[in-house]
Amino acid sequence: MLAQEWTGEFFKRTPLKTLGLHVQLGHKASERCVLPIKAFNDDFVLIDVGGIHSLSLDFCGCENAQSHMKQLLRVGWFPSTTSDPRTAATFRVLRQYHILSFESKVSAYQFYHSLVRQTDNTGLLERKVRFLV
Amino acid sequence: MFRPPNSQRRSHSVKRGRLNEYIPPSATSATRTVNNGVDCVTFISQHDGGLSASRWNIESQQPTGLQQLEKCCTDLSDMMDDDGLNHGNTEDTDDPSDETLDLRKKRKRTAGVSLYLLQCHDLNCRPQDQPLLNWMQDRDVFLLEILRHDGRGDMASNSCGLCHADVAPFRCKDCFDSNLYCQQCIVKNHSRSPVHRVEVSG
Repeated sequence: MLAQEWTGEFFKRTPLKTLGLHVQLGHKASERCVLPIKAFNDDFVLIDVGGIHSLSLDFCGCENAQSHMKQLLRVGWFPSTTSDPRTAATFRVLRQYHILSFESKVSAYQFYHSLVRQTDNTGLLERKVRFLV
Repeated sequence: MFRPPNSQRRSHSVKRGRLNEYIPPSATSATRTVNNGVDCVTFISQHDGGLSASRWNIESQQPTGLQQLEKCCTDLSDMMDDDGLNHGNTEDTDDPSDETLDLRKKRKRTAGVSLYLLQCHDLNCRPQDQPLLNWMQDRDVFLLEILRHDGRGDMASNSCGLCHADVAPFRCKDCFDSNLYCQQCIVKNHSRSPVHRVEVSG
């Protein structure tokens, strides 16, 4: 997910989204969807154990397609809302917090911000704040 | 520790007792009767000079509009305690002061789900005001989809997703797809991601 690009002097982080990766839901990896529906603003936020990613996600708009919520759950992503989801968290990160809460007293807020640091510890990159108190 | 600015006022009102709660004096008998369809309670208390009687009329009315929205956001225990009687007016007591009314409006909003929420059909009630109630109707779908990950999902056949071999019992928990692969293909797929967790079908 976190690709790097050699600029001539150093490696710079390059999201796979900018390199042209589209994630298609509702089909196998080798299949193409006839009617892909882009996520809102072509910017889907996925919270994973490795950090918070911005994806260009295409839902399936075929005739027998499932609802967007179901399409996300089928690939193991838990949508943050049921109507027109724009953010999801992977089952893996939810399970990690679940297990972590058994052994430590870390709050969901602190866990989320550890993921924000995981994404960019310097705080220099532009990021969306999804959890602000 | 953080204390809300109005905590002093709130604790003061707690000492005074609940809104509209009437504590009768000692040696008092209370009788509850229904007069002309109005529910009323008559208190007869004994003083030094003799007896004095007071009567309350209890009017229970259904909250509407903003009141209903406001009630939606208070928690379940308040619902059970209030029982719709808190809007009743009495003859002998003063109206509640503005301060206590403000306190009711400033009550902390919670996301608790109560059965009362099911009755909220107010147009002003936005989806984000009751997130759990909106999710409640989808929770069976969520449960089934989570259970689906324990099974084979759409992969009913045993053929490998790459080479179409007949025996393909392996899948990867950490890869994006949940396809089944044969042993050669799943090893080949993970030459660049060796720490992925692979499962084998029983």
